[in-house]
Amino acid sequence: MAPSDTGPPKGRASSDSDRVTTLPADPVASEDELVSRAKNGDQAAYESLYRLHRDKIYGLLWRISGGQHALAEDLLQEAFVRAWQKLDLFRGDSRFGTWLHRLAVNVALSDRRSRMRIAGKEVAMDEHVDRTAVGQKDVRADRQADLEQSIANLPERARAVLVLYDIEGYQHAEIAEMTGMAVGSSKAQLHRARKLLREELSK
Amino acid sequence: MSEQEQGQITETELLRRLGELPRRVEPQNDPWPEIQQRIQAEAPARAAARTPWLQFAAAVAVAFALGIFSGQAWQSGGTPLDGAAQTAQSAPPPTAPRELAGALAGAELEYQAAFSEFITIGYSASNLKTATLESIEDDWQEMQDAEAALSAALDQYPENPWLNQRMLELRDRQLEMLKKLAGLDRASRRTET
Repeated sequence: MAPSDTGPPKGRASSDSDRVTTLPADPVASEDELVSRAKNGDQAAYESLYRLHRDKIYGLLWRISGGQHALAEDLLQEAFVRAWQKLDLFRGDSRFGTWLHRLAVNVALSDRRSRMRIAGKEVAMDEHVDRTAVGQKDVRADRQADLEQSIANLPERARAVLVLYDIEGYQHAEIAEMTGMAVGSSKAQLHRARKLLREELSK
Repeated sequence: MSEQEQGQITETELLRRLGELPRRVEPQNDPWPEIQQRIQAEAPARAAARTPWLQFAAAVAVAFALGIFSGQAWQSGGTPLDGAAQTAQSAPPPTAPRELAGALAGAELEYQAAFSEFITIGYSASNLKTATLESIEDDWQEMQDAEAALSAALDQYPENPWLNQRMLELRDRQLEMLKKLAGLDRASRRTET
């Protein structure tokens, strides 16, 4: 596998401790305050929420979409527009980030389902993801790039389950609910995805 | 021969590597301008949905729908004024703006007169069951809350027909309740003597 063909966009995968480059418009306000203001139509507050959560949501969407930047950015846009439309429904029973994450998963899966209906069958990703600028001499980065490419090459259903379970930490019951598949199918898809990944990474 | 000996990575190794993947990924192009454009396009509708009087009106409408003002718990025993109250309640609501304004003005006068003559239920409270008294107090408080909400909304939108219609209905119910309380009070006095 050519490690230079894969990896996160812009070559910049920020860790959880690595804050987004654009600071929130109001860094003092708590997330609860921002949500409350956004619910009242404050777009600046909503932009702050967007800045806080953008990269995490994008990471999810980018992987589920098989490393397609344009599609992932479309999904990101759709997820945040839909979240704005549904803000009144957010009651604060969970953290805003959790609610948003779940909504983004639904947006991504809805899109996947619609594309699958058009294709009529599952298709493995054959589109190359962009070249990463993560130091090509960095062995760890190369290995991560290999892994990202292998994930992108997985069949869509298996990839979605693997991303949601192994990377995002959802349970099979949650995945089954979101994807509309049985719990057993989710487990089977995860087994299949891991097996394919191991084979791919061992080449 | 083990998997590692065969050259295939183990599941443990795979999970370790998956766990090292960064959760945060920065997009190539920031789609915020497009998002902002889309949410601005629907801002007027959203603002209208958040207009305070609509929120008040919605709360009052829900209260009516739930029958909060019916006071059934303490009315089941009936009072001498039940018949008159039912007649008033069953009258068809006026719909034309001028007719509505006239009806509301009449209801206001009648309500204010009844309220000024009202003998507080506190005089005979000791003769009422606790549950009945609590029910009366709850119903009265609900009406007061609804009146405050509707009045605030009408201050801003005095010509709104929906709000005026709701206020008229509220006045009818308040008047009905005052009459029932007066009947209870009279019955209570008779019991005492």
